[in-house]
Amino acid sequence: MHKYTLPTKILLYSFFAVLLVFFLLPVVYIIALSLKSAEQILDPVHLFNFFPKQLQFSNYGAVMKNIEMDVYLLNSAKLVVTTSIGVLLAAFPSAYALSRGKFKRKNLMLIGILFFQMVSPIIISIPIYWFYSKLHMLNTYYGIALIYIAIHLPFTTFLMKGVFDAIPEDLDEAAKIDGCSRFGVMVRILIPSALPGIASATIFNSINAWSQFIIPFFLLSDNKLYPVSVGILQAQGSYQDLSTHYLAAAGVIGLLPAVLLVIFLQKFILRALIAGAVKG
Amino acid sequence: MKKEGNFKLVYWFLPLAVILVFFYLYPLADAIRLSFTNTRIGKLDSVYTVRSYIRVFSDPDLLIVLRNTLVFVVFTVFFQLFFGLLVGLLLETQLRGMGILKVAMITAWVVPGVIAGITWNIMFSSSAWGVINNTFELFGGNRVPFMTRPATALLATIITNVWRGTGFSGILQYGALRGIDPQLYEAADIDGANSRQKFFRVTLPLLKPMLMINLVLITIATVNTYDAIWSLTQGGPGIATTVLSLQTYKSTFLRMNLAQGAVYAVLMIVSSIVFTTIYLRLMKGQDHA
Amino acid sequence: MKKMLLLIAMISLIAMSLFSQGSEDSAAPAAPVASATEAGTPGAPIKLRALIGSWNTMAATVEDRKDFYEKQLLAWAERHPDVYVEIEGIPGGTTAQAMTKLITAALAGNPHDFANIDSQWVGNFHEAGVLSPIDAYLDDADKTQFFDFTKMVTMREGRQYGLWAETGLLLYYWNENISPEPPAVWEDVFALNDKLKKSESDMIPFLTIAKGASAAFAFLPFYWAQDAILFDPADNFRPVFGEGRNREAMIKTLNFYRDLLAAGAMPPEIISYEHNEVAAEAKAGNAASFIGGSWLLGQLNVEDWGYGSLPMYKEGVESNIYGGWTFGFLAKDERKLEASVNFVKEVYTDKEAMSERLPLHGYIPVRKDVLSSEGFNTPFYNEIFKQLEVGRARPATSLYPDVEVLVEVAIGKIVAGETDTAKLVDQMFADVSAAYNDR
Repeated sequence: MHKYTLPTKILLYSFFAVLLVFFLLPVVYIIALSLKSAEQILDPVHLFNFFPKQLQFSNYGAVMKNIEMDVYLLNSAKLVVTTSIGVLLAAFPSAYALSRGKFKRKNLMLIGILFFQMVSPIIISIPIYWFYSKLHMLNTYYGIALIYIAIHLPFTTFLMKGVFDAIPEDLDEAAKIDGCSRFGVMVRILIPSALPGIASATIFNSINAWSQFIIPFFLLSDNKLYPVSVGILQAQGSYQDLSTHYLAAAGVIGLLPAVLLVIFLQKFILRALIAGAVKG
Repeated sequence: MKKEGNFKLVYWFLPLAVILVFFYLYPLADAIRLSFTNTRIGKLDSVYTVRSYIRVFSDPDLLIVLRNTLVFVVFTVFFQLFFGLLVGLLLETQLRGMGILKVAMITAWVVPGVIAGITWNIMFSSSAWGVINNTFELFGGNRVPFMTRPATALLATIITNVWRGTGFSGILQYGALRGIDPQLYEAADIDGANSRQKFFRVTLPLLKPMLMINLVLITIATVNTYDAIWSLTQGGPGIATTVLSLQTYKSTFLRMNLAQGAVYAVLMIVSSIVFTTIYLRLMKGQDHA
Repeated sequence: MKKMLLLIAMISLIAMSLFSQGSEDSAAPAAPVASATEAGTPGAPIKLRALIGSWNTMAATVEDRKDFYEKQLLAWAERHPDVYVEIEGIPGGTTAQAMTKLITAALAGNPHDFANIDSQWVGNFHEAGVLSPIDAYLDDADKTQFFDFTKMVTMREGRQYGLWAETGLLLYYWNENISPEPPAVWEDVFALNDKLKKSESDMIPFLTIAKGASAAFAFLPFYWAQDAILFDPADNFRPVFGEGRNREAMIKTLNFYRDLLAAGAMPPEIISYEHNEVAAEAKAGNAASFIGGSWLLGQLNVEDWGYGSLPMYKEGVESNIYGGWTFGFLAKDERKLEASVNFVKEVYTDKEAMSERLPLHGYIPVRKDVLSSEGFNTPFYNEIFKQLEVGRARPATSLYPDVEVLVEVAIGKIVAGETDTAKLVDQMFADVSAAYNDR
């Protein structure tokens, strides 16, 4: 480990402080909003007194009672898990082929896959609505989960291809000599060696799936199926009432599981096979 | 695709291909078809026409929207990369407490766009409740009308989006940094390199591929962003913070003009392609140099 | 590895919950229920799907409203054991998106059976042809007691397609300590500004709303007062606001905004103000006068605040605008349609329901027979009834949302420094006219 001189340390820590305030201040502000009464939301506060003196924890109780946060949380959890697993299953074979296959224009194909990332969910939501309606797939879990998988597939394929690239091909060869099929090699050799990379992909996919908005908003019309990202809006009152405090409370509740998941999963990134993602 | 031994590539690509065709290619083709019609949501019949394109291209606001998109994307992407790299480097110092930064950065990323927009709107406000302005005043500064002047409103949307988006780029960057073989640094030490030389000769070249991918991915994500801008400024004042994705959203969901929304969506894809092509060109040019 | 195991355990737990859903349906005939998401007897033969503004359901964020809806839903459920309603809420601030989604659903053949429809969106539903006529299920009072302005929106070609549930309109509020004589015309507002500036007061002389759909809501009374219209109902709702006298009126109204901003009589922050924000400025003592929804009065200290007609371009004219939501019916099946109409009538729009419900929200009734009831004999409602005489509803055409978006943008451009209001009007008009011709 490096030794840093004092001036360097001071410099590094001042960068640290500035960035920390930048990232955390709005989060703390959201928490402060979630603990205010409706009258306090538009109080003239500054940076050193914006946290309310009297904490109105009852906002959280009200949100849990008024809207079905527990249902939304469970829905989001189901969608995130289904998506994270489904997208890996769909991505493994093509990532494997991209990594181990030898064919022309491989780079072009990679770029072609990334092209799909450019298509915004705003515009595909309505055509998908129409064909889902014909197939009776509106208001279904698997319907939404399939779209989520599709949305995350290009990036995951890309990432997993890089992860596989970083695993030495000698390992494949050894297994093949032992009589493994290509599929067997992928399942028994590559996937287990790729666990840290899989964890990274899962972090990206679960955070993005957690915050998908327009697809579930447009394709679902059943309270019992809403994920958190759509459900928290139910905490927002009408133009009649200021309800930012409820929305903030719902937001904080919706934020917690995602943050916990990230803190839990991020340890895997330390092993950082992700760097392999870029050598292709 | 050719057959390589017993490796039938087609089958391996099948899951990817099926999903992309159904959930991207087909809807995308449908969206492009819509852009050549006069379809409105709620209208039963529509005809094929290029009038939606003509209307979008003859709209005097289009140039401003394109300019906003360019400024928004360039600055957002630059600062997301810059801060992402900075966080990655700070984490790499292994100094005490730096780990908090990672969690803070990711937390900002997880905040839903709607809530991010509403919160920053209250914070940036030049009304009595604007925290940032009240703090400026506390230190004897002047109030800045962030949300009501075109330039500052665009700045506010960029800050909000940098805040939200740095987590993604930071994690990618951090992963890449962790992947650099420590022996390379040791070798540089032996050669007597100072830390600046180490950064420019070892770290940066090795990071370049990941920076490129990061650049492409966050550019696409930024071009597609609309939810936080919508709840922050509604695209205003006027159209000062309206970017292409917001026009797509407004045309489709507020004005129910599906055809025109589809035209803007096509423009979004074109601008993503333009950005990506420029990056690829730049990268190629550098490699040959 | 432990963590990996934990993760696997988590995943399998969630996967189990995924597949354990179907077990709820087997319950025996149950007692009536009422919640934010359902009402009626579970398992009843007639099952309805409803889309209702969250604030008009048990998801309301105000306790006495929630209690009212619970009581109302349970009473309805007792009377109709054969009906069960699944309720989906429309969250505040997402009206346009919810309406777009509902029309898409209706045309794809799977809409809710009935829905809360914001009154300015009814035209879109008429033109999409997705509403079912309900004349057969209305009694005499339903047909005769509703105000005429509601019928202009809910009726088409002699048939009724909806029930208007409540309205709200605009009031001009002024701080009586500062202006005992409130501004009556636009010039008075500038005079108030001069007076405050002379006394070196920091107070904001005049505030209005210029965010989202409310921007057009607060703008249109000024425009209509000049005897101008947006669309010509006699000519298939062709947009006409950029022609002749209408164009002049539109320019004049935008000029009023422009000049108020230039004189410092109105702050540029109006573009991020909804009703709640102007009320907050008023309550904090920062504003001398403001335009806001009639429902805001309950939030103000009545000692300090006067309320009444909006200041107009000249003396002797008055104008106002009707907001509020209707109920539209999308079910095609007759039994479902009848059950839907009965639900809406009994919970929201018949005389008793409306009399009891509206004061809780600060809403204004839309039936004559409700006006005579006890709770409405107050000075506030007497002023309101005066305003009801001079108001207009927003035109029931599918192009109104375009106007709504464009008026907000035009005001925003003025805030951002645009001074050529004629250009703004012509650009708006070209835009809406093109949309009309392209239909």
